[in-house]
Amino acid sequence: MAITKEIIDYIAKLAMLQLSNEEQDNMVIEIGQVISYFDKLKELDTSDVDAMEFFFMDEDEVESSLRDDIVKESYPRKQLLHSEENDLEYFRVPKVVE
Amino acid sequence: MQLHEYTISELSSLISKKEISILELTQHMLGRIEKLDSELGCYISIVEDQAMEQAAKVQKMLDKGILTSPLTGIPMGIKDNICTEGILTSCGSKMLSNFVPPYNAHVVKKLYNSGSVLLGKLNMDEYAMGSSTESSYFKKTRNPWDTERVPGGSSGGSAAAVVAGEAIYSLGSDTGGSIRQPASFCGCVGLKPTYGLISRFGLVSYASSLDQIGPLTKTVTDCALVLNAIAGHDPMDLTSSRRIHPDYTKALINDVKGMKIGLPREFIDDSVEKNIRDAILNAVKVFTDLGAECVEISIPVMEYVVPTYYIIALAEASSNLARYDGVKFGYRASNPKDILDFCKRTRSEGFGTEVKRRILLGTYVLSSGYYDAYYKKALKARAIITREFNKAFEQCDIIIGPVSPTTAYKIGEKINDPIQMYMEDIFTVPVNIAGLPAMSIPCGLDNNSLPIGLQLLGKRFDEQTIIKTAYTFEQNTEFHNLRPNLNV
Repeated sequence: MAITKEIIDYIAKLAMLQLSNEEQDNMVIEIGQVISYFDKLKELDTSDVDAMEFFFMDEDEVESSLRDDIVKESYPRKQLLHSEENDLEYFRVPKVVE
Repeated sequence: MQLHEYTISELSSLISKKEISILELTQHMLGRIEKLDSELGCYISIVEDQAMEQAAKVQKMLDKGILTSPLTGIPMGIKDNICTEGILTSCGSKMLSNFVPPYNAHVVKKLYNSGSVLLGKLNMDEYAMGSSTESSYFKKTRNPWDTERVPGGSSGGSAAAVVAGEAIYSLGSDTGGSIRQPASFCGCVGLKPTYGLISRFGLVSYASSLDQIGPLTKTVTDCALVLNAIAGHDPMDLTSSRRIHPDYTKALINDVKGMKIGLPREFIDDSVEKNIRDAILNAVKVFTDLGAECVEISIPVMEYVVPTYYIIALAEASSNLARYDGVKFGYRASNPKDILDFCKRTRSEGFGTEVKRRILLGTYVLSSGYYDAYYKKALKARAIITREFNKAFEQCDIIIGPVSPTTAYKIGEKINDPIQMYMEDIFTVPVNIAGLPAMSIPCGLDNNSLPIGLQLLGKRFDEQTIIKTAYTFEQNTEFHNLRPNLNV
């Protein structure tokens, strides 16, 4: 299916991106080209394959990777709130309640 | 010979015999960076003061006999997507241009503990999304062999710095070839280890099921030394393997007699430049002259590896990069109307064009109605590709081929053609898809005197066979001694 301006608009909204008109026009072309290149994969017969067949870790490795929930000291608050717009007490965001 | 021209193993012996001091070496390297980096652009940040302090501290510990690693006192550079406590970790992006991590990545902690001295953070494609280091928000890195050309990417700064003598070794990250391709374009050794061998804790995520950290060095011996220092289990990374890793220097054996070396016919077809094909066939001859057997194999699924890779990588990227909302760290849009405007503008102003393109593609292949056709299909293709490589390894001990179908190209030549750039990843991405280890080593120069890389692919967790084969090649050829003429 051809990639239209409407599709780009829709996925940009999902991805929380705001595109300029120029960016939008370029993306219609470039994303269209890449997606039709991706379509090549449709030729490949995958009928005998389970999508989850591929997994790097052995099952027992996953099991043993789970650890107890241990309480540890957290990072210093000051270091985490270093951005100048955060006032050393909270993360600051625009007003979200009326 | 000047200090920056030495390898880790040579410097380590000079340091332990007290023929040079760590301060002297660090000072020399900083001087080298000062002289060259305005032209080459390898570094995003240079940490001069910290480096000198660390050098003094490490020298004291060495004198007291507390530190005895082969990396003690060795100056290194680290790719700017690997977290360093108190030091800017920008990921080559405006989005993280103010991000100073409160912690060190697991690998950084390990290298500090071994006494390695950090010189600075190396340039890269924004969020490691690229293969030329041209998409960095900060600067373009130039290839030391020809400054009109790209160093490759995304770990372009890491490769160029090692070759130009601006670092004795470096760390890069490889999601689809980002260590091996720049190593090949710049003429050094680059290893993408088996998925799970190196902890990814503190590596800024691009595509979590494909990302892996690895070393870039002048020689195979140096590669084994760095790998020894960074490999091993880390409880902070669920995918980090619990296997006890061997001492990789034990695999530095000059012998390939009786070894079966697989050459897939898809790896030397017409899409590969003739100079490169010739260099690969010459490498085959080097091995067979030494008593190895060359086995012709076939990996028919090769024509599907690039779309499979990009669908999976970009799907994971769109999800990983959803965290950049401007709230907790990174760039923040100014004067927002409301929270949505804040988030959207932060992302739109903070990410560059290639990153946005990849987020949009990833969002598309995961979106309702397209998930099965693209993402799920690619997962199935991934299983088939993995099966084919496993089957190929029943016929041989190691697979060899080119790293890239071309040598280093001119800056600006391909940046506007994303598909062309993606397609050139064909020989590197299958390794990440199947979680295998692979190394790039220098194997010749083309007609423009640009380095050509030989790729060696191993079975999972069989870095030793790669190291042994690469070491044998190095011991019987002179390609690793070729250096660019930098007129300084």
